[in-house]
Amino acid sequence: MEPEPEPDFDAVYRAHVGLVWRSLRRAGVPDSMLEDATQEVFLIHHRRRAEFNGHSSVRTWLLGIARGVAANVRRGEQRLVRRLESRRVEPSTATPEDAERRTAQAEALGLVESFLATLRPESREVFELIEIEELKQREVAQLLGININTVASRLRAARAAFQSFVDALDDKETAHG
Amino acid sequence: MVERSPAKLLAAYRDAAGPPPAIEQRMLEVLHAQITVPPPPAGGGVAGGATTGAASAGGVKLAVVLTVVGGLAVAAATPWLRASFEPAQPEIVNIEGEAVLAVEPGPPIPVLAPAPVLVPVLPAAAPHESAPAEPAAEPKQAAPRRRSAPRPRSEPPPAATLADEAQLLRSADAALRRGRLSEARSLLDRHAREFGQASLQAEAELLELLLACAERRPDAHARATAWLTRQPSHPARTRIVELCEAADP
Repeated sequence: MEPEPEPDFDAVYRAHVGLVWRSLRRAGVPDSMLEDATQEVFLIHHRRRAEFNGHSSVRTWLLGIARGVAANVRRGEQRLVRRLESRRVEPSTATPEDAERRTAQAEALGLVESFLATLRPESREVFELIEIEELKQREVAQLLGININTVASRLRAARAAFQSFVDALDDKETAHG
Repeated sequence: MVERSPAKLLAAYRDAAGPPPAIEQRMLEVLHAQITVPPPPAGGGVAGGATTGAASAGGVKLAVVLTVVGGLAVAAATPWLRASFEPAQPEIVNIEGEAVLAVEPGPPIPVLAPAPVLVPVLPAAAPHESAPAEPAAEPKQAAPRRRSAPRPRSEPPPAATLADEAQLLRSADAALRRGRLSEARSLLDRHAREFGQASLQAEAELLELLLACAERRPDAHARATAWLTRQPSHPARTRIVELCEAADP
């Protein structure tokens, strides 16, 4: 008899696939490889679930795996890259009614990414994990192996920078009428 | 246009940067298919992917025996290595290594010397049908190679070609086992030159990987990780872990 998936696998996947996908994307995994890289993360999660001891949250566990997968891709393991690239992500089918939402999303994507590019790497990582992925400061401290006070100070600075960034956008729009 | 508040901008970004629903569903279906595959029996199927090239050609059968030895001491060193020795559940080895270690650090990893890994074995008659792969290394058998009329290009490669290829790889493996890395490198380079459409490509790639580990190439550990990710139940797994873990930069 064929074994069934773990009962909670789907729940973990549904809850965290966005987190994993975005993390891989921001970590430099090319769009064409995101699908396979994401699957790789969840496969590793499934295979190593016995090692998950509850000392970290599922999110930080998955993020840890995702960081490793992304690092491997970045290291340029050529055969892996070729394998993943050989199965490119097919563009999703967009309906006309989605057009406006997609335009807004594309704008948000560009704006936030342009802001992230202005941050120092250590601040960027904290901002991404807390403001975008909604991790707790304690989780981020554990994941990055840094003091929680350091997390807090980096977050404060990045939040202030983001607020200034958004304000500047509004000012610019106002000026252009 | 997106309303310009930090919270709404970030919410829109989350949607935009996440996977499209159709792909999210497709990934889940693929994952279901993969995680419901029953694990291989303990000890693993012999050869697995390594025997993909071990087909017969021209009546000459070729067997590839992968020698898997030792490694348990190393296996006990780190959590992910321990997982790799649970036979009922083949595990991914350390593709996520550095990140997981950042969460749950493990003890330092010991360095072990290289050991025998891959030994292509020809049937008794095969060496007599072909010339040794290394002209200078071993004396040729007395029997001269018969010359025949040129073959049409559509014919499969002659049996001697496959035997030659196996002999070449066996020599490379022997050189690797003896620590003669430059010789092994030379033989593998020669294999790449002379056997572009190699029948034993999987074996050659495995040897190439092990040699990269023995040479402590910077990318060796990542390559080994990727290999083991692709072939988690490969019978040479233990050997790869042993040799390549030491190459961790």
